[in-house]
Amino acid sequence: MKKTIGKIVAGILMLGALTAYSTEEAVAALATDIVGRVAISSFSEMIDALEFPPILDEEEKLWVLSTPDGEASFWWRSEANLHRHMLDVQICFEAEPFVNAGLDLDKLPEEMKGMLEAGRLMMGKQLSQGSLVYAGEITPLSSFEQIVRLDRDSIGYHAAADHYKITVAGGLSDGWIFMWAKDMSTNAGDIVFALEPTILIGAGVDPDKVEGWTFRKVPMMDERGRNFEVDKFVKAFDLR
Amino acid sequence: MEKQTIAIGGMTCAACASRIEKAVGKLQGIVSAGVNFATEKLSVEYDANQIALPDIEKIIVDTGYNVLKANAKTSVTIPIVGMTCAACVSRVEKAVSQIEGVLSVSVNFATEKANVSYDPQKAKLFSIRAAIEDAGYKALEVQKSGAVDEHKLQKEREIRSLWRKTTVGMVFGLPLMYLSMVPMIPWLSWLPYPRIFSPMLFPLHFILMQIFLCTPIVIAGRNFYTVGFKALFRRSPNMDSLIAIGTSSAVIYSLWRSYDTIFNLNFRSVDYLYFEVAGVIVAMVLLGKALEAVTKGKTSEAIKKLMGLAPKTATVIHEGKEVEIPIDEVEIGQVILVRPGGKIPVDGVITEGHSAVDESMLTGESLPIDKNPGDKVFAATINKNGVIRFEATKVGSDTALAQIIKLVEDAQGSKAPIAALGDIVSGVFVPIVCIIAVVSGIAWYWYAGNVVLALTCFITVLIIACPCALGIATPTAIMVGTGKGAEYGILFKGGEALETTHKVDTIVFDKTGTITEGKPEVTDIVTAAGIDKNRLLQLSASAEKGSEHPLGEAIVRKAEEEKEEFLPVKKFEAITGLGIDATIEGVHIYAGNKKLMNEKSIAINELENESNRLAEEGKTPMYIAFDNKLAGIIAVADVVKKSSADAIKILRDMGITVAMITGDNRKTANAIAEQVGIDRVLAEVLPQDKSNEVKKLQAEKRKVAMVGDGINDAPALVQADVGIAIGSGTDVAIESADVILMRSDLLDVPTAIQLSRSTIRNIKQNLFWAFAYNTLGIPVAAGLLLALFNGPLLNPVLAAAAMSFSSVSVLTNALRLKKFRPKRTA
Repeated sequence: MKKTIGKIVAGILMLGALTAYSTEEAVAALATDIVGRVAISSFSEMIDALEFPPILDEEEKLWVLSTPDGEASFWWRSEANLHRHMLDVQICFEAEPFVNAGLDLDKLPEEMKGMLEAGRLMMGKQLSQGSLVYAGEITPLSSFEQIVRLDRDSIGYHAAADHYKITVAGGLSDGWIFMWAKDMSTNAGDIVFALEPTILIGAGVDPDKVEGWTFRKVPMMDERGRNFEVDKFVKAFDLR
Repeated sequence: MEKQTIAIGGMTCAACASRIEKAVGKLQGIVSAGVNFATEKLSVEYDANQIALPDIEKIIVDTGYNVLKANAKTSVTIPIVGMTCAACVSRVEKAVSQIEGVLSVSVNFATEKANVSYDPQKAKLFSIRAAIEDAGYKALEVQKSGAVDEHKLQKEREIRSLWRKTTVGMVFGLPLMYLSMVPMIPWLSWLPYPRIFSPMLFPLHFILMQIFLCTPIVIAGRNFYTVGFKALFRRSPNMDSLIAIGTSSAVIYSLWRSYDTIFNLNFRSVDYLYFEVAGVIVAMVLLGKALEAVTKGKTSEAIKKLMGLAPKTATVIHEGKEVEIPIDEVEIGQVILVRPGGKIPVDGVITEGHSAVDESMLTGESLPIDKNPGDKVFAATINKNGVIRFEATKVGSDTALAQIIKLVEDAQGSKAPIAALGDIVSGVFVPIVCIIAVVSGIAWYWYAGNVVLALTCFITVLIIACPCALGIATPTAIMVGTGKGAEYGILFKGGEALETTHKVDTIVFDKTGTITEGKPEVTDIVTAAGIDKNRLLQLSASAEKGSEHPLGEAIVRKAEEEKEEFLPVKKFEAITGLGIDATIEGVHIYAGNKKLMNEKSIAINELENESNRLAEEGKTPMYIAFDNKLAGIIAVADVVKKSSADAIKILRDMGITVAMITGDNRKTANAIAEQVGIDRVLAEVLPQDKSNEVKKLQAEKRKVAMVGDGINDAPALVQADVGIAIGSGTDVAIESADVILMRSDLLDVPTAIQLSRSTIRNIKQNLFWAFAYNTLGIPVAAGLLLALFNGPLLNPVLAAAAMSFSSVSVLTNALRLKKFRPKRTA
């Protein structure tokens, strides 16, 4: 009896140890990572549905996915980050609607002003520096696959909204987020940009006066599956 | 009519007990059938001409339960001297195995021992040893091992199995609950959580983990499903059916959601998994069952204590030698030797030796009793200081100890009328609960359109409504109460007696032998003019020689002390309730009370003042007439028991009216009553009228208990609502009574009533909690608070925990009775 209980406890402890020390890459490689797999397939469907497919910024070696109105874009790396100052994923958006709504640019952190010369604000982060492995041609999708493989924690799924998301700043459950529909046939917002409003409002933005962006509560889910709501500046597009 | 007790396996709740009762009760020839869920035994009375025991057992099996045979076998290890080779081994084995009743024999040449299992009903140890000796070897003293009771073993196995299953349930259930609940509960967010099981990041891992942890629990609780669904398909659902339906619904729904997640890639479904509900419910119920089984065992400790009183072996004198044999092998007529300090193994009559015997374990009398040849000795009593030999007169189930054990066992297995309510409710409870669960589920789905809410209500109602607490509320308290009574030397003959005793508001005590010691002594001899005192005593004593009346015996003893010669009696007749009529040496003698004298028209005026004086002193004047003329009065007085006054004071303090009934004259009766504090005296009552006096009291809407010891008390004991016989009394009185006091101490009367009151109070508490729990729990589980006040909805896991621990709490409450201490001082 004691032996049986011992074996069971040992099994559970081993399982616990295995899970505690499993690497993101190993986990992402598991066939059981259905969220990771569907993240790639749904991302593929989404970029296929775009009127203007993602383009490669040759200088920065980043893929750029722009909204149909061109006011916001999601960027992700295509090659290893050779220059440590570069961001691997980022969201860029037109500064003008926010300036018109009272934004004092001087109050923004420097990291947001990297593209200010082009009239844009940005927020992003560096990903892990594992080696990117391409079997064939480098495409927007194959580059996205590398993020899923190496930075699985950056990709999340929000059940209530049926959206995938990648956080470019902040935590996975909250922050600066680019979202896309898992199933575009049933989802009204096929791509969604959700900006963390704290910094912008802190810099003088009146949230009700930002044109082209909706300031509203957005349902979120943390990685343990708990649902909650947060304020975001949201820009959503239905691609079909 | 035959009475049998059948041990039953496979019952899980009171509904099962009620089902068996119904099934057996329907058979032709069955007089009564009652199942005690706590002891798991069926007590059945039947007409053996109409139905046989196997038919009853068959219907039990057909109803879906097991009949457990108390198949006893004994194992012994016999060291053998003289074996020289392997051939000797087979020779011994062959010799022993040929004895009828030997189940197995295994001889180990290396250890030189034979292990023999045999049926003691068929084979005797003597014959086994003789077979070894006949084969040419020497059988040394047996190394004893106990008899094995299959039912007891089965219960032990069941408890071990339940603990094993509970361990599996807990080992898998706790991580299951942790991993599935922590992500959902905001205030537990500080707890560490393995990322690989994150429902948002890795839903498949989350699902597989839950299935992996839930499966062993469901397997551990597979009995709920096999028994529960079987009962459901027979259209007689029980507690297991509720658990089976509830948890399978949770599992099936979760599997469907898992399928939706994995194959339809609908990750939203991961929010609707209920594996942990099923797993934790099963684990909780298993834990509750294990605790219940252990606690149930404790309720019958009184019986175990009684059984433990008997020694395991006896030293018999066989062909002039002392031989130690198992107690089961002692036969009537065998002479048994008991040394000082030894326990007397069976009942018998002393043939040689003198000793003092401690009989406190049977009678409660603390002082050892001197025993001489011709005196009776009883099993389990202790021989204090002398070597005695006695002839066995009663063995096995016929000994006084075995009778007491049987009486307590029967009482523990019997049902109290208060149990009827629980039985009726639990009989219809489960189907009603199923209906409520379905209705609440459908109603919530229809009203809120929410499958999860509907399913939660459906499962929670099924789980919280398990009527197990209801089923054990009464029998466990009866078991502990009757067991506790046995500890105090108070034997309740059944649950009904235990229950009725608490209602008693009037107690009628017989005087002689009950309030008094019952050993009256002659105190005064008053003669009429011209009558010699010695002549009066001689003739009276000679006449009373044939009487068995205590007063007559007192006169005989007095004559013996005075060394009077007893004269031959020509004619003798006892006149019930009045006295005797005898003729000695041509003298026609009447000896008896005033009524007898009046009836025979004998003038008593001459000694009436003396008679009154004696009566007022509490003495019983017996008139003696020679040839229809008053010859004198012999006064007899009985000593009041030391505890009588205290017992009566306690009873009066308890609000009970105390009366005394006696055939004695009123003055004597009043005098005794005054000594012990009784204010209601029923004097000069003829034996045949005692029951009428009890009837009269009952006509005043009183619940009457009658306490007596004599044959003449038997009708009154039967007539009374509760007949209490004192143990020193006659067999007839004991047979007629509902409660037997093993000691002659009247303080046991208030103790019996206090114990009955405590037991019934305990039962009422148990029933209240069991009913309250279900009646409050079901509406909350069905979502009534949510519907009416937007209040909380009961979590199925909490429902399972509450349901499991309701049984344990009821059992724990019943066990509190073990702490019962009577008030024994006025």
